[in-house]
Amino acid sequence: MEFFYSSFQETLEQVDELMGRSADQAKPYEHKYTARELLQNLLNHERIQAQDEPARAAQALIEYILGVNHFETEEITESERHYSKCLNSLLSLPLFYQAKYLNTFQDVLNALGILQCNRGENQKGLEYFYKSQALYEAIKTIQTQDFSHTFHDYLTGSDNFRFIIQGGVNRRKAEQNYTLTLFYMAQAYSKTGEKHKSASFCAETMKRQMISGDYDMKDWAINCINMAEYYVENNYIAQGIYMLECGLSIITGKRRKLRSTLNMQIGRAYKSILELAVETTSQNKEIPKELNEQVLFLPMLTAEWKNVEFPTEIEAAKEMFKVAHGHFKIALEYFIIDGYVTEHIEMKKDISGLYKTLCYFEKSDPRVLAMLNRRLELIENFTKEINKQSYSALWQHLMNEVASIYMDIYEVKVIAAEEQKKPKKRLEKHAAANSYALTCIEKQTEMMEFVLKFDMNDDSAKDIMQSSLNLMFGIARLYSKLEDPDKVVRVGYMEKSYRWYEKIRKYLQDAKNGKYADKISDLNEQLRVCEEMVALMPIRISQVNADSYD
Amino acid sequence: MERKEENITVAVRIRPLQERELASTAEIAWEKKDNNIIKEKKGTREFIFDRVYDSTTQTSEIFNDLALKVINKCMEGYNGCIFCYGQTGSGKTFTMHGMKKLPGIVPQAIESIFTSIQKSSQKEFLIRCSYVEIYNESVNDLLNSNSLNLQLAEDHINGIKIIGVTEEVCTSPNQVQSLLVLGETHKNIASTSFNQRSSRAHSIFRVIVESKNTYGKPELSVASLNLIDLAGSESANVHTVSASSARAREMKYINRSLLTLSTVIMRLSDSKNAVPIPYRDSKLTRLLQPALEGDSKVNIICNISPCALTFEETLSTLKFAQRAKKIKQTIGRNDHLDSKALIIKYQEEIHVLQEKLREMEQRMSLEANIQVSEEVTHQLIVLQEEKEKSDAIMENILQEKLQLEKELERFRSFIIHPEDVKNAKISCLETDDFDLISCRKSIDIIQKIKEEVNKPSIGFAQIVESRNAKYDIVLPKESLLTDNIDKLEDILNSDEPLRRCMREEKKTGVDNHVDCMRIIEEQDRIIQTMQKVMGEKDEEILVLKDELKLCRNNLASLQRSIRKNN
Repeated sequence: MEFFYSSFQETLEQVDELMGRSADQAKPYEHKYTARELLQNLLNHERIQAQDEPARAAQALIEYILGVNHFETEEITESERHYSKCLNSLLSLPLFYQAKYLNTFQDVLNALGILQCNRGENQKGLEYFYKSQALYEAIKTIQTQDFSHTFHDYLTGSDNFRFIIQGGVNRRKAEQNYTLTLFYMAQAYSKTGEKHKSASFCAETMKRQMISGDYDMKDWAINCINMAEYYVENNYIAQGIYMLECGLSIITGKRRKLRSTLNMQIGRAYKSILELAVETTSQNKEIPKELNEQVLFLPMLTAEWKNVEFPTEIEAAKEMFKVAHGHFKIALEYFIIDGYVTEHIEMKKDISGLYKTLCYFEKSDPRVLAMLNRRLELIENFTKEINKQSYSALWQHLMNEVASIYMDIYEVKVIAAEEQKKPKKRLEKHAAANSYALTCIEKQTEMMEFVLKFDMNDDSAKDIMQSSLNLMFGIARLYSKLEDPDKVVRVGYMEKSYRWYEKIRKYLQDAKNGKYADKISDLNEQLRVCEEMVALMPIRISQVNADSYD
Repeated sequence: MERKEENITVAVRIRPLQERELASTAEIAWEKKDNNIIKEKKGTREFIFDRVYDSTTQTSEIFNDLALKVINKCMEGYNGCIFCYGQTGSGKTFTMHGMKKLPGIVPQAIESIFTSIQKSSQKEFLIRCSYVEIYNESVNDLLNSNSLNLQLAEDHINGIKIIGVTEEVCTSPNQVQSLLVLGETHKNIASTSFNQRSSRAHSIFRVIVESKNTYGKPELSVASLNLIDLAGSESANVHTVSASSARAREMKYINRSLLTLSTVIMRLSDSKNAVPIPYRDSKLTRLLQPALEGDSKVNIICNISPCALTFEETLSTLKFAQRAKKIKQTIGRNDHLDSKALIIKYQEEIHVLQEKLREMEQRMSLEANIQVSEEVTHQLIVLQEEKEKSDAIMENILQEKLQLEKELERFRSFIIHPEDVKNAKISCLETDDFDLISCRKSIDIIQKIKEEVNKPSIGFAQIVESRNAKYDIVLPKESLLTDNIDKLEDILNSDEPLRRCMREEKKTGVDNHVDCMRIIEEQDRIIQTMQKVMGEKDEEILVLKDELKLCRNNLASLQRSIRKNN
């Protein structure tokens, strides 16, 4: 045993120092190659080559470090070979002996798991991780006195415990390794697309990191954002907000971007409460029970859990609006348009969305109109400023929003017009509202022209055709609705509507004979409606004309 | 904007076996079957790609098959993007950059850009180049070694841009080539046991081609061609960090960019998946976002090794390629870009300068008029003074005019007219730029030699060595001598037993004498050689100093001439 305590131990410590030493950029692996040689020599030592138990255990330890070494020098296949050898050597030991190297077992299982995941073999990787997890559960049950070896005599306070041939279980290391296992599992599941599993492993990892204090601030905060996004998506909104507050609470120092991102996400979480509230009240749905359910509690943080409530009337909604708006405002101070185009505009759109939910609760028309105008102020300019080719999706979203705001204004004005008793006044009011409808049509036409320029393929055909049809139908319908005191103008609108229906008919017929006919849902139905309208519009036009000659 | 739908073109290139692999017992695991299928030799796995090249294919063939199409599109105003993916040591850098005798895609692309400029008539071109690398999530400018960790930002016209990146205007293929050489010297390249030259960073060489019709409708188009040499794909690791800060060491092998790239490709290829695509998770994908979203014609060349040693890695590369193949794209032409495009900017500037010139000329004649009118009203002395003054003004104006003309000329020189491009081939002759670089290199070498010479320890070590060598030569002679003495002794012994004691006395005397002589001789020899060596070294130092001076002069004169040329 003397050998193991002296030269074996010494070499391994030397190797550890070498592998950690930073190297010259031009020769990044210089020290690692040196370390590798030392290990190889050690492995060939006659004492290690002996077939007794300590020797086999030592072989396993060396093979593990060799595996790490090859992994670090980007020789993955070699690395795997060494890891497997390590595992085999460990397994060849009698059970009592194996138990002394449970930490190394964990290490090697984790390492093999990552290796597989890196190759995209997530399932294979997960098998290793599950083994590692089971191992951890076993370690937990082991009585302390069984293996509490006096490794402190050799390396006081160091985690490099595995070098000690005597073996034993380092509980702290076991905990750390288990945290890693969970972390890897969260990633592997996110790769396989199993969101829920990924989220629960991620949550567990974060909690353990918080307890052990072993975490990187930035990564932890970013994980908070990702987790919150997941929670909010699944209606656990209070949990989501809590996660984000936790993220904010751990940030030290300036970190403006990180803080701003967290604030932006909190704003979005409150926005989704408002949107959900509108959805549930308008459709008479039940309030989702997940709303205030606490899935994860993170200890040792200053952030506090806050229950959220659905606003049911304008004052409560306004309060929530203020909270959300405040967070967006902080974030916007950092995410300025110059340099952060997407974030900036998305947030402006979010604020516009906040006003939209307020409009639902607001009863007074003038106030609704004011809010709609405010929304236009927020976003309309961007549709002209940004390059629609570079920001194609963003531009379309904005245009859609702007068009729908104009439509909303038009509808509010029309309702006001219909309330007028005198026909003349009513028509005058209609005429005043028309300008908004026309702007809406203008925006829709611009959008449609943009969309039609996309070329179609199997994936995009449905989206392109559906959205352009929607736009065209919208335009045609809107034209037919417009009223005006001047009959000639009104007939003009109706004729335009007629022309648009004709256009749609042609488009649908072309599509029917085209390559992607099956991509339009109920094509025949739409075509029928369209043909009906084409037949109907001239009659309606002649009616209006006849009226005017009365 | 015209749009056309296409898939990403994916090709696989199998490299020949390396010595290391030939030496090992591992077998060949992958082989080419037909032009577009790669097959597992022992199993049944097959992958179909656009093209599969085996180890006999030259890079020029790949270039003509794939890259040329991208470049031709680029000259028409479509964006292009070519990148190499694969494990370390699978031949990415060889494919992309090649060697002097076997040029890779980048040098050939540059040549063909200038060839097609030469061919196209009635068009003006402006070529700008930038060269960056992404290493450990920081974007470094390879053309300016001082600008490290550049930030990415969005601009509402152009989308994503790199703030502060050097964009050199190039007018000849040699100039581009020299930029490449310059960039190469700044690169983070290191040798691993896999490879002599392994790059652990992604390098992106971007050529921006602006063209404008000189006749008819002034149609302007701007296209960028991205040529990317990715880092080894095995670095695409799962995050092994962050779970524990104590494991900061593991940070090193995380290459977030590649990990995100494969995630992005995976998400993009799965059209039914509505999951947001994490472009923003890494700098590489952020930069590639426009290309992957479909504004570029994209070629991916996957480099693999046929050896069974790296079977798993090769398999994962092929799977990546398979997914990439599924991405569908619609490519648009960048037509109406606003006047921010440089070519127009330069032309506007030229126009402004011409205006200024005209103004100057007018002012000159005006000055003359004033002078005439003053001649009548003022006295002779005043007039003289005035004349002097106006002369000075005239002088100034003339100089200003000259300067403006020069500037005008400079701006004009940036624009490449097809007829100007005499030779699109990159000449192997030593051009000025090359001289500059080679000069710098030789200075470096001389500096190193000088340092070595000045190191005392090495000099002495050499002396000791030479002394030992000489001693080795002396040794057999010595033994020969003692043998002879022994023989003589034998003879003496047989002659007279009486003289034995005498002989014995003599023997010790002779021995002592021989020893002394030998030591003295040895010492002399050592002193001589040491002096000789010292003298040689001195001479060497002198010669090197001269050489250094010469090089410095060369460098200075070159820099002067470059400045003059500019």
